[in-house]
Amino acid sequence: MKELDPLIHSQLRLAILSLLMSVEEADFMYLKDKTGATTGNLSVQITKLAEACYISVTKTFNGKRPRTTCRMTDKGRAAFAEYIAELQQLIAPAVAESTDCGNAADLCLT
Amino acid sequence: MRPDESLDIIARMMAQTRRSVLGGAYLPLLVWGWVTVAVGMAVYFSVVLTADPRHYLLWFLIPPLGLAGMRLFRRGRHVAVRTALTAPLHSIWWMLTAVLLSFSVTSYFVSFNVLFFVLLLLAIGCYVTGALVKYPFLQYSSVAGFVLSASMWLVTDERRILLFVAAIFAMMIIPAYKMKKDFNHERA
Repeated sequence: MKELDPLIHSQLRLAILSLLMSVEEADFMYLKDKTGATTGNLSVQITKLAEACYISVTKTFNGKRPRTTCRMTDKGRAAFAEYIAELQQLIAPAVAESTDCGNAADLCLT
Repeated sequence: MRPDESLDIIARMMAQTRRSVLGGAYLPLLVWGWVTVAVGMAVYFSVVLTADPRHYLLWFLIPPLGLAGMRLFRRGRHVAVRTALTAPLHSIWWMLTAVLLSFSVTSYFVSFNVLFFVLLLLAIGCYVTGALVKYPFLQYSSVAGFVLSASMWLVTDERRILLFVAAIFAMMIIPAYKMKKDFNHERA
């Protein structure tokens, strides 16, 4: 079984990618608000994801305020889909086991 | 991090996006709904009290008042997120606005039941919006628009303006307040 992508398999990076997966683009403040991360930590993780080309980062201005917008790249989407598939493979035996246990418990009860 | 923790994070973040969609959808319904109701009532009282034949010009207050209202209520908040629904929703409502405006202008030159078409198009817009943002209440409430649009053929005097206002209230304002309540509740 393949190992989970270490770049995605971290709480904050996974949260960022999950948010970006379901939107077209999101700005830094939105990601900060939804993940509850600190500015510094979020900035570091975004840079890591951008360096791996999983997300693209655009810096613009909203009036006088700088605005950082992130969006998922095709490479990021593919990596995320692969991560989910691997996660499913990891969880499948545990689900099957719990179902077996559930059936056994039903038999005991009857 | 265990696999089930990963799944939990993914599920929580996806739910956050849904909240963002609700948060972005209720404001236009609320602003345009109240503006339409206010102008509708102004037209009605103008017809009843003054009988001035130019009263229908008041309908043209809706676009500038609506735009001003949106500007006012969106001041200070920039759009933090664009979902896959943002572009289709904008596109649908811009197209409907263009058609509604052209109907309104045409009705000055050609006599036809413009309120029926306006209400029908708005009901379609609300229904489609409800379907896209997966908010069934908006779809159900748009039925009021479809039903009351039919009544535009039955009622021919100025009371049809009151029916029009009632339809806007039922299919835009009430669902918008419910959406706002749900959004605030989920956020809390």
